[in-house]
Amino acid sequence: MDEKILEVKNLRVNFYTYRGVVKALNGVNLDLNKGEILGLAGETGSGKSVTGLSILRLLPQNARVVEGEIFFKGRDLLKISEKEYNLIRGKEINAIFQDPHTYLNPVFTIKEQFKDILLSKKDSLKNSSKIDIKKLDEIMVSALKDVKMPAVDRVLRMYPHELSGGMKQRVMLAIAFSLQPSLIIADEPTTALDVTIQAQVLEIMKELQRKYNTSVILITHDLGVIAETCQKVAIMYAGRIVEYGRVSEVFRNPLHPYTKGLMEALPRADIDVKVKSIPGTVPDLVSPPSGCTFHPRCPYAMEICKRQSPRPSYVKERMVECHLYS
Amino acid sequence: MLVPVVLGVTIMTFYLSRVVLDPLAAYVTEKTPAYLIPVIRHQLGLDQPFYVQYLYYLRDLITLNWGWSRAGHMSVADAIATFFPATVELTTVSIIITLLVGIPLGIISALRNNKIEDHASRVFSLIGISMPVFWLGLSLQYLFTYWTRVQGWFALPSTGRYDPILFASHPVQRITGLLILDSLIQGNFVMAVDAFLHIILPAITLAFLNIGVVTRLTRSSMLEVLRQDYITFAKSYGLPQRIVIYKYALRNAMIPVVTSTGLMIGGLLGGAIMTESIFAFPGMGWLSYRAIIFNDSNTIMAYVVLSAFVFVLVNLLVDLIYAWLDPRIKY
Ligand SMILES: Nc1ncnc2c1ncn2[C@@H]1O[C@H](COP(=O)(O)OP(=O)(O)OP(=O)(O)O)[C@@H](O)[C@H]1O
Ligand code: SF4
Ligand SMILES: [Mg+2]
Repeated sequence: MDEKILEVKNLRVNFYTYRGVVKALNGVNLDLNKGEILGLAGETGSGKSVTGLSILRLLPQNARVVEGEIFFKGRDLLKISEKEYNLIRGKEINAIFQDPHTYLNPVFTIKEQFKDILLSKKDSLKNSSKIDIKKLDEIMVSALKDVKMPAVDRVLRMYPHELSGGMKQRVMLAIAFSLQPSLIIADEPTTALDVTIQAQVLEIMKELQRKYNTSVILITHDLGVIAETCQKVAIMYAGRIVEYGRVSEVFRNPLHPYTKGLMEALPRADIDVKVKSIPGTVPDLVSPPSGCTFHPRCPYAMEICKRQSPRPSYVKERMVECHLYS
Repeated sequence: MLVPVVLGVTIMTFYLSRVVLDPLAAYVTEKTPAYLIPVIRHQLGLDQPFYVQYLYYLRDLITLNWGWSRAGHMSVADAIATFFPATVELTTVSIIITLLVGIPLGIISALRNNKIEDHASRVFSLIGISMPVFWLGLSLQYLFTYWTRVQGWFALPSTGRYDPILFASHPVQRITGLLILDSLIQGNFVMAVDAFLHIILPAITLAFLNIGVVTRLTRSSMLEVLRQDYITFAKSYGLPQRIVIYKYALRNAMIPVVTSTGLMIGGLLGGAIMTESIFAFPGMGWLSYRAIIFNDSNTIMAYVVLSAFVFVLVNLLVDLIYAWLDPRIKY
């Protein structure tokens, strides 16, 4: 039996802006098992990052979680105090972000930043109470070796601007995995990197994930990456998950018209067809379309789609939200 | 940078003093016989071509041979050696007060963005920035010299740099010219305290203007930094608030504050004419004011060159601090 590590239930997040209330998440449901990689895909603005930030409780100040629960190992992350959550951050749940250039502090060395993170988690270092500097060094060195960093000692003494993008992202990976967390949320960890380096970084991430049996939420709009890396995939559209299932099944047989559109928009190496992109644009989340939010763009749209939102239908582990299947 | 700027200034002061004005005026009175004038002119080298005069001028500048100061009744070099340290001392105390008040106020403002603390600090800054110096100086004198004495509490000295009677019984030898420092070095705490009490009111007067600037700058720069991804990153690893703000954010936020503090120091070292006059504080502002009244061109020119030199030096210092704060900057 799979051990459930994360369960997001009916999560709703609003942004309060000058333009009005942006309903960024409209009832997101997600399950994640131990040791699994879940790919979260969807067009820009569909709410992937907001989902990740909600779990991390790092939403910007103008955002509010208006409804929902996020269970992590049985505890609702939205109900615990900031202090309690800070004990989970870094140790149990870690984040890897998109742009390694902006996520490391420019005025401190890698070692300084890494050390501060480890020190803030000193309770979790074995033989606690006394902080053993040598032990810290060991953790840092071995974490960097884990990500195949050359010249580890030199890298530790460097400032972020002295490292290349790929190296920085590997530093982020090293930091993220150093305390062997149960969950890592990786928001487009390779998007900002060169294509050649992307594959390397993903490979390292997969390796570490397997080694420590970490659960990962991999946010990306690259379905190719998901196909190669993940076991499960969730497709997001306008703040909802419209299709969810095993990667093998969803890719072989996409059910939701939006998923189908995304698959067709995928460039393929084997056949030389013109890539079709989905016509239309992402809906305005201040005043989203009535009924199924995808209906203005959906080639299968029916009368009912304009009036009524579809309810999720389940087939075993597969979930799809579309009137075609209800 | 340092050398060309200072050279440029010397050319300008030379031009002003030798070509526009007649430096002879400093050595001639109505009673000087007419036949002596060419002799004096020759003695002073004023009959030589300009470039030769400029070289002499540079030589004199470097050898501190700056002529006679009518305003100070001593040689210009001595006058500056006497008055400049007082200004340095005043500047130092004033800047320390500015930063000690301004930076924390700015941080609080940023952390409590648009809350009551922020509004309070905004009003305080605006008052500081818009208050006329003479009014503030006189008010402080009224409050802490007159009013507190009437109440029978205490009275801060309102003028001067030290109490001459106290000085007579507790003499301080001149080492650096900075009275507080010299007193401390010699273990003369009575004079150190006395000098500090004398300097505190003018220092606060000068600080008041700058506190507003530092507060607003710290606030906006802190807010900017707190929005940065690396702060999100630090928070996402559960670093304590204290480290996130006072270590990871503050160091980045201080970079623009250093620039403006440098400018302030440069300005203050030029001497604050109004403040020094109100408090009869014998610094560069006081000296240059008298020099202007006395039409004392030697002192004025030395003052201009010194100011330029100090400004360039302060800028160099700012650059060094930059490089220390931000490793991305290399020279
Ligand atoms: N700070 C903010 N203020 C207002 N609205 C926001 C803010 N951040 C996100 N949103 C809104 O939330 C919605 C979801 O944004 P999110 O960043 O999660 O998209 P995403 O799926 O991660 O897209 P991308 O692929 O571009 O990263 C967007 O429609 C956006 O308008
Ligand atoms: S519910 Fe209707 S509009 Fe929405 S995806 Fe399904 S068919 Fe298209
Ligand atoms: Mg995103």
